[in-house]
Amino acid sequence: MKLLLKLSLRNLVRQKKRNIFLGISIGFGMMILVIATSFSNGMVDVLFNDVVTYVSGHLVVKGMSGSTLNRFLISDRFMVEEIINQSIDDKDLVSIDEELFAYVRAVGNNTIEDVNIVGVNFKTEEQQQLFNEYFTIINGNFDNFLSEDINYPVIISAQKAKALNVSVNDSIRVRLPMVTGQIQAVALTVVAIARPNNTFMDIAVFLDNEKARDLFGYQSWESASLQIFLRDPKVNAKKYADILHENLKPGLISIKGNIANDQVQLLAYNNDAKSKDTLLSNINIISGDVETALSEKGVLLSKDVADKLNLNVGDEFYYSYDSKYSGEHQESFTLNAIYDSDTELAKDVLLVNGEGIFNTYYRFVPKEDYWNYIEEDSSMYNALAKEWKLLERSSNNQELQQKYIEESRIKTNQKRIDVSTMYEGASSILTIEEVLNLITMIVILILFLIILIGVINTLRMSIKERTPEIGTIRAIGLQKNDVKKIFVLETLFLTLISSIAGILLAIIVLQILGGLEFELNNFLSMILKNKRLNFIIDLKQIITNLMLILFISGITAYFPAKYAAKLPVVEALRN
Amino acid sequence: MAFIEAKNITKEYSLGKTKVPALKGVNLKIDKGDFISIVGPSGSGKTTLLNIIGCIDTPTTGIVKIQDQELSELKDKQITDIRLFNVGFIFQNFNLIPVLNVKENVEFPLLLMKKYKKEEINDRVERLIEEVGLSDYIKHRPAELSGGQRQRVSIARALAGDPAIVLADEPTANLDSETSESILQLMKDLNDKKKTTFIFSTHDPEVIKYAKNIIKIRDGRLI
Repeated sequence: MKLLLKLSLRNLVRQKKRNIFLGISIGFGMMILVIATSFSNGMVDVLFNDVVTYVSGHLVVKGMSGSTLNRFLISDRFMVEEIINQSIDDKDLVSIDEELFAYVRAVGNNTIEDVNIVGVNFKTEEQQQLFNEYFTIINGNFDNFLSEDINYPVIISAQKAKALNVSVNDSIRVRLPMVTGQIQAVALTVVAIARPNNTFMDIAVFLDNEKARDLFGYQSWESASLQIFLRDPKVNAKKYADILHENLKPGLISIKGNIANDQVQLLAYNNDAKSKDTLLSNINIISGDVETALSEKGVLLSKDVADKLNLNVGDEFYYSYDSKYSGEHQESFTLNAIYDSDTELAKDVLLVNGEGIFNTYYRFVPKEDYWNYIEEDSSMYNALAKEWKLLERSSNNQELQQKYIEESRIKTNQKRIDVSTMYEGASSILTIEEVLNLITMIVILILFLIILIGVINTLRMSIKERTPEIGTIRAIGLQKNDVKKIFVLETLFLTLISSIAGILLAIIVLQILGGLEFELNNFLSMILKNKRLNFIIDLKQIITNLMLILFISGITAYFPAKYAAKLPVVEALRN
Repeated sequence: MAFIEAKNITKEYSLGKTKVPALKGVNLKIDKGDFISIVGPSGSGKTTLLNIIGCIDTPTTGIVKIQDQELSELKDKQITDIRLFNVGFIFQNFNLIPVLNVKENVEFPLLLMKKYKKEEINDRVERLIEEVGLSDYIKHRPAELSGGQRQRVSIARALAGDPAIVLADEPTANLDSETSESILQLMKDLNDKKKTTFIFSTHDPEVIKYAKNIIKIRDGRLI
């Protein structure tokens, strides 16, 4: 083998000019490939770590209600966080972040602009440092951001500050929908102007989390949504979304409370006709109007409780229960019907239409949820209202949007919980990654083509020139196989040396390009990180590509080499 | 038993649709230690006969046996090994490997044999180079040598593996008369000393006088 290596290397040097040209082509191709993959990696890094993080997180759990599903509320974020922690392995979970935001129209100095008010936590220096990784404050500072003396202090992006024609200490007026459904008009004070390291963050107006909570009307145990960050999100996001979805299956709305001093369980029924029919087949209405009793404000009490408390149709009464976070809550009801039943519903049960209790249930989460005796596979179970409606998982953004459109057509106060990954929530952004991968693929294909044509051509000429030499070494006693090896080795050496030179050159080019600062204010700024092109050199990927290119060049060289080996000795000598 | 035996061998070459006979039923026996000259005019079939004896070409018909082993029954790998271990070649155009120096050219067959240790190869190669008078040129590449020097390297290479037979196709054709004489004398000396069988083709009467035996060939037949 040593002899074959020696021959291959010397022959490579012997045909300098031709090999240098082929080597330059391979090296140049490799350089382009490394630059393209590093650029693609850098872009993916920006997309995954900055943009997707900002837009959707790797996984997001959203609570939605309202006519266009535009009111976001997770009533008991601590419970949901617990479910998330149970669903995701500690080793794969980076963080669970509550997300408070509102898309609003802002009025600046004689200009109007859409902005996204985002609640952020900058109380510790560490959190401020994290902010500094993504933003550069160009005017103002953090000091006033947490000030209690300033009316809703905000940090705004340079682009939005320009669009709204505001500077530090100026006010921005917004009208924003609160979680309760009310619209609130407030003035925000600009305390700092920052330049984000990518264009996707331009739309954000940052407000202290606590102030945002207050502004949007969220309690401390509530959140708009929860963003989950994972390690290796490409592998883990969909897997954990499915597990989380399974674990977020709702139970029945069932409250343990009291009327006067008597313990009564509140159950809610669904507002659809089928559920109402099922309900009627399980109970007998003794007094009261059925239609009223099954209306959206419908309230039915079992005969046992009504007799015990001496309540009649038309009577008003209070139902009180301990809420999980805000003490005792009292809800006033007017009794529409009294029923009897030969099922468990005959016990101490107050039946209300879900539409009449959902909002209360979400704002005053009961401390003790339910003591559920209704079989899950029974028709009655399906007729009773669930804590929330868990939306089916979507496989892409189109399905997700379609799902939201269909859900928004259903008139209900019941909250919808949706679990989505970045692949659905930010699929349009991730398409960019696919495009980048495609471009890289094309570069690889072009490179392969260069190698293919170059190697075949070079070897053909080489074999033609060296035919008598092939005859000589075969006559002396070199086996056919070894002749083949000499030519394949020559090609592999050439490819290896040129590729390494290409890689080194690419690293130099990347160092130079990565050091340049760009001032872009359009969508192209998305490719920048801290005003610079973001290149990530992945050594493993380079080695894989190098191996692949060596493999291709080896295969390409194999056939001309085989031809050379098969030349009849006497014919070769005579050539 | 003859070392090489050729029975009724014929060889035809194709020139388009025309078949050109090069050998027309040649019978030949060569014993070990011979110093034979195959003599004939150009196109008589000398080179073709040498190529068939040297296992780098095959006859169209007929049988060639080396040490009683019929070549047509062997695979390419085995025939290549016969060439490596039993036959040394000296070519008219020297046919040295241009990217290897004198020493490397001479040791080439020894390295292929894989039966000698490094020191053994070194000793043998240096001795051979000394014998052909090229000790001062050991690191020179073929392009840096004269025609005579190249042919000496070619002889050293042919003899490196101690072959039973050395075939030389017009070894002096590209050399001046003085160098030719020294080359032939070298071959003769090696034949005397080592009993190596030499078969060389030529049409030069000066060369023929060195031969112990002469095989005459004309129009593809031995005469």
